[in-house]
Amino acid sequence: MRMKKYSELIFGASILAFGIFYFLLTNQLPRKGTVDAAFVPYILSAFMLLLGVLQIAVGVKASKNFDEKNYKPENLDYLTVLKTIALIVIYIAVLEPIGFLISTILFLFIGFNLLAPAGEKKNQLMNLIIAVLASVIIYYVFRNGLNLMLPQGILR
Amino acid sequence: MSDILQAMQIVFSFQALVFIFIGVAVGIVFGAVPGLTAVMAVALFLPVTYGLSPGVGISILIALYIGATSGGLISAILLKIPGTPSSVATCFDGHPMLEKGEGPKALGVGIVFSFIGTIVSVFALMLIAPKLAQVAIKFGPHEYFSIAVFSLTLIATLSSKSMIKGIFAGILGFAFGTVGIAPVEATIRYTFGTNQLKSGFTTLTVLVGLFAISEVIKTAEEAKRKNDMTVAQVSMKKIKGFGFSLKELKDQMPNAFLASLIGIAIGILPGIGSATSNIVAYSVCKKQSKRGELYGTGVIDGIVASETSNNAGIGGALIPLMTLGIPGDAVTAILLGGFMIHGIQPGPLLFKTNSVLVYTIFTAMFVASFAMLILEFYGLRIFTRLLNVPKHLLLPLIFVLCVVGAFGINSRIFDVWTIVLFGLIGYGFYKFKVPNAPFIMGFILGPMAELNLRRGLMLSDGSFKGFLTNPISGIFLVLAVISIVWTAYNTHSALKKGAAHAEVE
Repeated sequence: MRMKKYSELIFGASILAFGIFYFLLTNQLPRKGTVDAAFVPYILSAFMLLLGVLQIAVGVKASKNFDEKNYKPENLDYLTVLKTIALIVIYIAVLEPIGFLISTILFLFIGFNLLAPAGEKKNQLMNLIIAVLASVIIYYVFRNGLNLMLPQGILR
Repeated sequence: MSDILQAMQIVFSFQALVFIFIGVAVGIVFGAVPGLTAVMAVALFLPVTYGLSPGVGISILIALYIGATSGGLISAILLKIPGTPSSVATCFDGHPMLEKGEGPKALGVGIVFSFIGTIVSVFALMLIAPKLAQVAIKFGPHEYFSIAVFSLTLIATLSSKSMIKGIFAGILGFAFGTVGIAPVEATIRYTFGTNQLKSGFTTLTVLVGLFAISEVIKTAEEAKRKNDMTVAQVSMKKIKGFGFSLKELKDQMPNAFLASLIGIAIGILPGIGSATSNIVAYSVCKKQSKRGELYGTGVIDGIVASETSNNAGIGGALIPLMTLGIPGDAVTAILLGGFMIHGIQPGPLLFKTNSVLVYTIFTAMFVASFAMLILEFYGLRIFTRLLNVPKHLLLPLIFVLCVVGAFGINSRIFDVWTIVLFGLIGYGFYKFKVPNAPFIMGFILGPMAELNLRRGLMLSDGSFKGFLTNPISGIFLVLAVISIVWTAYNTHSALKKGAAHAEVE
């Protein structure tokens, strides 16, 4: 991965992209005089475009001066990150249709396994017990004690 | 007077006392475990307060804040990793002391001076806030606009490493703050036609996403790696008192006083808090001290400086929050959300219309400080054991609690999606080394500046002059310009120095 070399540049491009996006959206707002609902957003867009250009300049410099010989690639586990994000998205998507209890038990159980350190003995029974207990306690404490109605889903 | 009695009745009720003790204990755990922060602790407990009375609810949140700010010292001394950014400077002398076999003493000093710092700052809060509220009650849109603008310029001053990134974070937060119905003529902005976005993003979802969800995603990066964190074990059994002598306590008083002042002052300034003040206090105390050269070798002076100042920031940060409704840092931003949930708008009127709540907060702070002193010292064994709680169990649970909290705001899944969105933004910030505190300040102060700009212009018939001719507003605008010029000058000279440095290399 040579990402590191261009990370400052990529960031600059992202600022610029968001700035343009925000500017285009602001442009669609109805105008009602000089100082109206679009006034402040125009100032913000201008700031973002300026910062984007400056950051790109910084990024170009940084990638030129990048010390490739002494660079040690970071050993980060992006696969686990992606899996975690996917798990989170699925969990929230099913939260309302399936209900808090079942989806949370599943989320916790899978989450415990996903984030467990490699090579460590996994006590699946223990994981399951914690997942079930935690979900049940949270559900009933908030439902009965604190009047927060979490989605019931299919257990209605 | 009867208001004070009423406040005492609220705080000294069984329910409130139990909640304050639990709050402090949980806060200490969140402070102590690296990766868990004060912001998370307060954010996670918010849903618990939904169903409680405002007085009790806000007391718990403040108890958590006090506990978490102090708890960082445990890991700073025993692990050499600061549990929170507020305890970075505690490591400098804390760990050398542990290696000399003075671990218990270091912990005792840290805990006692955390307590002293908190108490001093509560007195400062009680003294300054009502006076400031009396002045602030006359503030109109002009003053609020200029104060917000001044606070926004401070963000740039403080985004230490890359000014571009700090300012961008603030602007981006501001941009997210513009979503929803615009002030004055009620134009609907950036909602993409959805109803859910009409009222804009909820402050709480932004905070939970940025500070808690991003942390969960971050852990995934290194989750598979074995961790070999070793927690030093110290026995507190043979310790008399708090492990240090009365003379040492007396000798440290000037040091503690200076550190408290720094902590309070930095706490008051919007945008910065204990994460900055502990380091500033450490270096100032080192310069002032007659035995400054011993700092870093394991003397209690360093721990006193760091731990007194970070807790003193609590009272400081509450001053602008309670009198102006302006949060000084991320934790007070959540507190602001906590106030709002109970239908309370912090600001100068609070002192007139709801003085019982004001006294409740003051009383709760005293009680929480004593709770912290007792719990942290005598419960130390339990807290050190909790440092070993496996993260792969802890973080999914924290995530679920975040989901519950977000869902509880309006009982809609939409808010849960928002915390994920801001979680991803927070993770992106971390990857590109962008500070996330300016984002929060921009998100809260930006819309405040816009609203008051529009209102102020309406009052002065569309003329910008009103912002300058109004004395207080004018002063803050001048201060804003000074802060920008000063930052620009500093960055410029730092760049020059950096360039000269590079040539030498």
